[in-house]
Amino acid sequence: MHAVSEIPSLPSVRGVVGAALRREWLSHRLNRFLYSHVALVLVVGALPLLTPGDGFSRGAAWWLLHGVLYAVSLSSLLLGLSSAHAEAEEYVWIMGQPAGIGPWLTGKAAGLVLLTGGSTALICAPVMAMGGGTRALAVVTVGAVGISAVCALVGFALGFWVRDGVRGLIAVVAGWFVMLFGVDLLLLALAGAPWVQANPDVWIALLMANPLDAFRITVLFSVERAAFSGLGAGALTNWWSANAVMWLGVLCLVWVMLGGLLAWLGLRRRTDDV
Amino acid sequence: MILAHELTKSFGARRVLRGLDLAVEPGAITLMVGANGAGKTTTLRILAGLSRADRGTVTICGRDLEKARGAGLAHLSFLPQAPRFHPRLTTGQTACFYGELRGRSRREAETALDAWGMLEFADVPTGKLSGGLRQRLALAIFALADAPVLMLDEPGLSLDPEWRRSLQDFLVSEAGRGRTILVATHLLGEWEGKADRCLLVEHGRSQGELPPDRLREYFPRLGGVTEPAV
Amino acid sequence: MKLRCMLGVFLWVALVAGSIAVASAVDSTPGDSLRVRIVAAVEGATLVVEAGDYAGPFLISKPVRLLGRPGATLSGDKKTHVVTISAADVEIGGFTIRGSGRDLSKDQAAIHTTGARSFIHDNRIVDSLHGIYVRRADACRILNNVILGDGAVASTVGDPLTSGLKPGESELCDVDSPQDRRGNGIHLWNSVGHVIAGNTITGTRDGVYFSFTDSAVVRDNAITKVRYGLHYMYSDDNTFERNLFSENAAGSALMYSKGILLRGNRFVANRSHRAYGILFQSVDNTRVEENLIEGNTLGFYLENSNNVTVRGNQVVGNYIGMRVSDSTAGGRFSENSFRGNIHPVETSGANLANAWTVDGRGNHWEGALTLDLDRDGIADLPHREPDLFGGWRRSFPAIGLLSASPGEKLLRLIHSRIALPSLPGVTDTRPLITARELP
Repeated sequence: MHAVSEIPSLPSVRGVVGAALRREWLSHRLNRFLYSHVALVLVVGALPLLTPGDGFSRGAAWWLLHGVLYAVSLSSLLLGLSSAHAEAEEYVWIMGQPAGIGPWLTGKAAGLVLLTGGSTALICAPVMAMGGGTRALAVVTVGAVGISAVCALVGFALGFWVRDGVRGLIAVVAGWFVMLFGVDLLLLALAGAPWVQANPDVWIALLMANPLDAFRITVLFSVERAAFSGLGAGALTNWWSANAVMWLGVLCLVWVMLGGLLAWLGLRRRTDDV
Repeated sequence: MILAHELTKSFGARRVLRGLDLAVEPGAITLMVGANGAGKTTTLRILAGLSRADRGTVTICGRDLEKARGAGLAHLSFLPQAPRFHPRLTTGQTACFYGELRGRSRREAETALDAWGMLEFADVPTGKLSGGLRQRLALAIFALADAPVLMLDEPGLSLDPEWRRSLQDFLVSEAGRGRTILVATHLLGEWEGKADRCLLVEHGRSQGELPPDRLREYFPRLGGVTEPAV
Repeated sequence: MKLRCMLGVFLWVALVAGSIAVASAVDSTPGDSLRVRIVAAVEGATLVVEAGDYAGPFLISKPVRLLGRPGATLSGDKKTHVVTISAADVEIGGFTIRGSGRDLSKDQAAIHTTGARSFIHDNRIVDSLHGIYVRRADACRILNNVILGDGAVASTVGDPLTSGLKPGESELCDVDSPQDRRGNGIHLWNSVGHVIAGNTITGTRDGVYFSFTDSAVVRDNAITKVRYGLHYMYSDDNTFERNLFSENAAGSALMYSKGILLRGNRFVANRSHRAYGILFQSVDNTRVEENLIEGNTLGFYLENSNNVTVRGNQVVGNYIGMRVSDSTAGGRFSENSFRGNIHPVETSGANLANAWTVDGRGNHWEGALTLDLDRDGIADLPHREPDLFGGWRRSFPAIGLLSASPGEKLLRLIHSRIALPSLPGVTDTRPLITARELP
């Protein structure tokens, strides 16, 4: 024990980040959401094997696209929410630590991203095991990992803004609907507006900003190389089509950082509720 | 040392603190008593950096919490009321984590658990601990910080008499080592004669001090718990 | 004196002429020999040409059979056609033919025929402008030739719907750009009754060019990596069977014609952003049966075409499976299978002038929610195939980025259960439960 006259030293940021990261790992080892997520990822990864003959390798990207859009994204959101809520009872301890919430949140978010992304990487395992490894599969897997990380961080952020478990679930499902369907439907509704038709780049930029749409476009038009009649839609579309993979990477990174920032704001905002 | 000056805090239209002043000296146990809703917990939360006063200043060992929050909190260990932990993590994992946040080793964490009789529960998930065991884990973590300023919010509520006595002994010992100790409590009876000072908080203000050796006399006024003395 | 002079002149002329004759005999090339043989041959003769390089050009102006042994090569002078056939009933086969002129305005070709019933077979044609050019010559048979153009197709191709198909340079001598300075694999103009089978064409400008050519049979050809696999205008009553049109920049375009039969062909992987598996513009009274239309930007486009029967085709994995404009009427679409298309059908309106159920049988729509309680193989409920993007694809091409999006699929699902008002699309009243397999 320290003598009273000693001035306690502040723990290093790296130490706190590392502690939070390790704790996240320990926490998820017993988290049923993680095991459900892994099982789901493996089921989705095995979907291409339903294709008869050796077509599973060529059709893998198409199957995985839909699996990620409709299942893995929601599962990742729930995983993020569960991570945020896991320590809800404990915020009073954590926020009273001298290192503050920033390093703890960073470590926790990093642990969540590593766990979610790492488990999502298993999506390529079934096809790989059957000898169907291709560059397209690698790109889709990396994209799926990115989308999974983004969704986990979105769920994480929502969890810090909505503390109640049931409301948190509702918020996550609503957020998933918005990302999956809402943006598309909104853009579809806007497509007929004269101002939008005169400024298509604004419309395209909105689409580009949605990670689920960016993933779909990347898989369809960059990985699958689906023939696309809209290539004459303008310089932004052409740039996007040519750099879809890079754009998806940048977008996922931005969204992950944004998710972390929103989580931090959510935690700070609710200080008085702790 | 804890100094608070002119603290005010409102939650919506409800004014909880109305210019509270506070000075807690080192080397002594200071109680903070008051009726429910008097503002004790809010004061402690502001002092612990968990809540922000609308106005006023707080310094912990000379560090202004607004300007040097990290340094201020580094001098402070706070035991919240009815503490709870991540239910899936074990007692040992929880203690080690908070030890790491304070730069303490695993061995020190185990020593702290042992001191509060929790080492044998090191592998038990905290979600499976009883209220009393959870409070002892909280005390172990609280002690592990080894901070010069100790603040406790209703620390004895879930403890059985034997551990309440151990807690008082621990605090007396720490005060003897020159620590600054502030305890918010309703259990006036058991603290009678143990504390060095007793601050009275009413209607969000400091209302002077009570004699620490005659606390039972003030039960009716404070709505205190008629807990038998330890 | 005068006599001696005359004798002298005579001797000198004889000497010079003799010298020239001797010299000519000594310097005669294989090409010269072949030309002499062709000139000397009687009608109906068979000339077998041994392996070797024969310098052209060659003119065949009488009905003979010119058959090359393996290794026999006819090389042009790069100024005109390599082989010109001006007589009927000429057969030429078994040669490697190279080195035609490159003047598009003169239709220069490896083999240029104006002779009816020309039989051109088993040749390998390289380094030429057009491969085989048939001009006002009927009933030719063009079988099992390999025609290799100069290389990969240019990436920029105009949309035939906006720019229109251009006639050949025999009709108009305009050449738009350097990338058009390649000839066609087989060019047919103003003739009837050909059989074109078993040819392989790749890397030319267009694969098979039809203009004012009727009653031909085109069968078992493979045409890849050209601009238009089939460039077809003003030609009636032709039959296309079991051909492969693949990886062509603009696909196959048929315009202003009638009475065509397309059966058992494969139109696949025509994927540039203006490519069509098949494009019909003003094509009437035509049957399109049992073809595979797979992996194209736009699988099958019917514009202003009447009474076209589209039956038993596999429309698979296209960006847009089928586009049927409202100017198309009397179309009969049945027993087709739509699978894996990002947009199965695009229309510009309700498409009421066409039938999507014929003789009680509709089409197979992959992914449709089907119910078949009486197990007759026909769904009990109609299938609505909406086109959410409709005309926006042209006024706002970026809308295509919402292809296969969850939002689009959600609306499609809702529309399949509850008809959303004002949504363009087609309704199949008797959808098939299972896809019909190609023979």
